[in-house]
Amino acid sequence: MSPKEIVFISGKGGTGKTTITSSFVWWLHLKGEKFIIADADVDAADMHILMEPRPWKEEEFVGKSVAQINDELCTYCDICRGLCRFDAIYIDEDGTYRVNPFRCDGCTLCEIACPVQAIEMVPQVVGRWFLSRTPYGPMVHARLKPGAENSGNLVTMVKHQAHLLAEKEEIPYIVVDGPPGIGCPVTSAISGASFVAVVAEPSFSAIHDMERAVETAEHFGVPHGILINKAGINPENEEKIRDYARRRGIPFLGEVPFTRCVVDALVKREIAASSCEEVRGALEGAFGKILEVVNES
Amino acid sequence: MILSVASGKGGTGKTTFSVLLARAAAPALYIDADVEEPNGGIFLKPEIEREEDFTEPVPRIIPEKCTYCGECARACPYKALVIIPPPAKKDLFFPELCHSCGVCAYVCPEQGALIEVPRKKGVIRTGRSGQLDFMEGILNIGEPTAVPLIKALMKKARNYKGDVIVDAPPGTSCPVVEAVSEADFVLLVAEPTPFGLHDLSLVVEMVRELDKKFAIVINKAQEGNTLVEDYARRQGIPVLFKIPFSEEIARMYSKGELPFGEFEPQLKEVFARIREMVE
Amino acid sequence: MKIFITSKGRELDSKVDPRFGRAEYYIIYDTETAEFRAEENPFKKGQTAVGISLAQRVIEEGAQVAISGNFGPNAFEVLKAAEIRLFRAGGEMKVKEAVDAFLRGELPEMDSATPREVADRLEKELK
Repeated sequence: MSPKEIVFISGKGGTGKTTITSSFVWWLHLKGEKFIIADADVDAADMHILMEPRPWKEEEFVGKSVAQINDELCTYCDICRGLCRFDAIYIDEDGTYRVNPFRCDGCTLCEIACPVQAIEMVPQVVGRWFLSRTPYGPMVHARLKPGAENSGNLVTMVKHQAHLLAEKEEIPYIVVDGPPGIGCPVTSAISGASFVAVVAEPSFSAIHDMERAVETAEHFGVPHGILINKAGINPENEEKIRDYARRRGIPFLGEVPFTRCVVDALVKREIAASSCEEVRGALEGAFGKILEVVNES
Repeated sequence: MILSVASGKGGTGKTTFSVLLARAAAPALYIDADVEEPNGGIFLKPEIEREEDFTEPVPRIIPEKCTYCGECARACPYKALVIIPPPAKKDLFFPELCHSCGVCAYVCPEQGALIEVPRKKGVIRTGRSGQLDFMEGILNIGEPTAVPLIKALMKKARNYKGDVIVDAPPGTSCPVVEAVSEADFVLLVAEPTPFGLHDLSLVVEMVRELDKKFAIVINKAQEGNTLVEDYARRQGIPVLFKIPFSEEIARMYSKGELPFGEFEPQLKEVFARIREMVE
Repeated sequence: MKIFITSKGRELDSKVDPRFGRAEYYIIYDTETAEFRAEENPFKKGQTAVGISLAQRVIEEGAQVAISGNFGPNAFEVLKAAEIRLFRAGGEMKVKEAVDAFLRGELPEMDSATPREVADRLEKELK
């Protein structure tokens, strides 16, 4: 039996996705369920602050390749620098040609164009990933070097490691804190999931991103539902979200009120559902619905 | 002097602080480089005087000349081009994957079979808000990377005669690096929560790697909460300003307003101090 | 006729890999000879556009039919442009079961009405 994967995404950052995901973890643990936590929000991997993971295995993660110029072969012909559209190639103070790894896009044009094959593309170690223990169960997470970008590949890898572990230890669920945005990492996070919970905040830009996230889930045929976080700050937008769910036939999971308690819990590194009764009440129903759908499939 | 305002994560008050500071620093130029979510304009309410398209070259296959050999598609590192060989003879282009690197045009063996045409990827709008020059970049939805548009904005920052305040995108990845790469000084806005502190530590690592002078600004500062200050002291980073946690500011913010007058004298001093630190 | 199936292993007993672009392996099954060949998916750990890359591989392999759990929007577009027929094998199907089900005409074909298009249509109706 393959483990069931429950993914939380939000589109826009700062909607409280991690608050909701950590509450789900807390709730599932309280029910006595076994699961693996996978933090795919690698840009701002905040789950570990609440989960306090203790790593027992870690490995390097190799991402995009960037150009590297071999100074012994380089004839200073300047062709590469003229062609590069990312302004990544510069002449150092000592006159040698160098590549700014932050700017290099890995496009290979310089490598193709170099008349003396002095340039090669070298894969970069962009971060590390970890297998850890937490009070709630095992956790797979990653950390990127500053300036490195999250990728679908890294998300896939984190999920893959979670699946390997789940299958080995016969753990039935994987809870994924998904990446922000609507790009490739999100597609990777949704692909293969049993359920996608879209966390929406009642602000104009968050609604727009929520729609994009829903479309992606629809495209992959993954069951999904919408949950409003910070309810009460804009009733008009909240109605828009509910209306959207209604018209599109998407299960509406519930709404979490905007309270000072959530902020205070966060400051104390506590999980919102554990510290705030209002939040717990609102989320129990939503979480129950999620498990119901997941176990039907 | 170019001053970039950054934060580890979205929603920390980066824009709030940027526009407050820009107003206090006027006459100056405010640039909204958070091109995927530019909302400085909501508060500054500028009169827009000019709007120019931001374009980048993308490939176009000329069917009469193309032999469908597939060289371009094989060379494309982003797989933005697909060539379906004869007999089907089709080409597919995925603009959301294209980075406009030019590899396809470079490798095409047939003269004129693959040409590059400009594609609109966003706009740059300029205008005025009181004493302040205003500029914002707006990236089209679905574009793969914000970096080229930010680079175009930073070029304008360099050419401006006067002080520039850049509202950078959130996070620590390539777009942010681009938005702070030209800066003489970087201000990092953080909230005093464990998440906020963690995200701050990431962006601190980034500016250190880039070898920039920088300082911290605390948003939603609460009496008795010294989370960020303690960190700043340990790290030897100056804290230049605090915006207090206030429901009044939150209410104004949701209506697209900010208490400009209230902080102006203090922020003028902050700005003068930064200038000293730069020089 | 050659069939391209994404697979979790190298055998006909292996399960169909529900992911297209990031599938572990793919199997080319020849319906005339009942022979098959397994290859590791060279794009499974790729950075971007793995779906498009594997779709190009389907074309290069000369398959007329592709079977997987999901086809991403871009892979779908490429395969359709190359006039390759796409079928969905759901659940925990093994490769051989999927091939047999296809030959019996029991696998659902993914036609032009992709979920994306359904979504777009709904969106227009909303406006």
